[in-house]
Amino acid sequence: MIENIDIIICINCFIIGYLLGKNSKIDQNNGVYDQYTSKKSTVDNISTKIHIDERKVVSEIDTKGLEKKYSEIGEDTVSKEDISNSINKLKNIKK
Amino acid sequence: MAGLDVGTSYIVLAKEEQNKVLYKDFRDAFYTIKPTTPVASKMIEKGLSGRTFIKDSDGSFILLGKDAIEKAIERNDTAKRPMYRGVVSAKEKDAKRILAFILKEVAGQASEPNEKIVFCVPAQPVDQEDDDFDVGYHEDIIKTILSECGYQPRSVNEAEALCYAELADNDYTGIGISCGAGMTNVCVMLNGEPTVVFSTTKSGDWIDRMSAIATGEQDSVVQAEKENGNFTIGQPNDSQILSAVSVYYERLIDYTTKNLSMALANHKSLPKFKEPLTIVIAGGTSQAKGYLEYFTKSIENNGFPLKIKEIKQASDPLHSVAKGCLIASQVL
Repeated sequence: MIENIDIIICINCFIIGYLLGKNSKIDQNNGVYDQYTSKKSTVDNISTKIHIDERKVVSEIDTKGLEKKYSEIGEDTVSKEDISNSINKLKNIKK
Repeated sequence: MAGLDVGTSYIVLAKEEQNKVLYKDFRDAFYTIKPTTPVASKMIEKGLSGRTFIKDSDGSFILLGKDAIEKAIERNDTAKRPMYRGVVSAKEKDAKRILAFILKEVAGQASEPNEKIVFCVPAQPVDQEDDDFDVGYHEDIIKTILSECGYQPRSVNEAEALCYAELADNDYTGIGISCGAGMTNVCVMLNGEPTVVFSTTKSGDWIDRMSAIATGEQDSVVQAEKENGNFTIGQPNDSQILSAVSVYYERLIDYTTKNLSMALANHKSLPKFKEPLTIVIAGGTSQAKGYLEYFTKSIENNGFPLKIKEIKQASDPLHSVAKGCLIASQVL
């Protein structure tokens, strides 16, 4: 009989402790996880992830030290094709 | 307005003038010679007279374009490229500087403030994932350089530009495949809207590299032999180099068509086309004899999931992408 009472007291203590612990872990107002009072992962409780912009930055491309030693660069060609029809057709199709 | 094809092997500028299109092509290559003494410097400079070269602040000479390739072959060496596999090369220390110099020279200053220029960028490859391939960074570099020339730059996908240039008679519906030196770019277009774009990182340079390994020659030597064009894909050749080139061409086409079939099979964004499609192919790598025939055979053998009306080569394979960029500059 005494053993049964001990078991019931233990179970009640566990339930009360569990509920109190759970309530203290998360600030209900903003959903921010208290990392000092729990081992549970924070990821599930934050709805949107914040990313840092890791794109490479284009630093200055200095070409001033390069001295040109020629007159003309590249090969020029002229095509008599008229691209105005293609332009108009594409403009219409993209409207 | 202008269109600019920023390719691994060629940079092509297209401008419209009095109902004609003017193209300026420049080979995207450089070769550095560093003199050891002041006397050697004078001798080298004299020897380079008439060639396209620049002198760097450290005294070295940098040959540009075709002259760079010729000089590299003379010295049994390989010319360098400011670009690798479709984007600014992370391998070459001077890549950004040289590319900036070449682009500024080819594009020139904008004819009016904020003149619109559309340049091409590759799609994300399906066969490579590493930090060296960064399309966004590449795009930012080109934009920075062109902005310094007074342009208002905007990018477009390379194969999308090809579709704009070549699919007007098909209501801008079909598939464009741009076979450049560094990459093969693909765009599936429906009524002027790109629906699927992707790329593979194996193209002309891969053929050069593999043939060079097989024959023990320099890449530049293989490239020069290949570009002379004295071979037909799928046919035997007396030259060891061209024989290897022909075999690697077959493997490249097989690889490209397999990737094409795999990428489009069950693709969620792929529209349900009512009519059979036209496939248009462009780029320097597609100019080899027998390319179109072998490509057609290979696409049939590799289970291409869509009905094909015809497979054709672009009317001007080296200029199509630049022309598409020029068209885009007036529409987008």
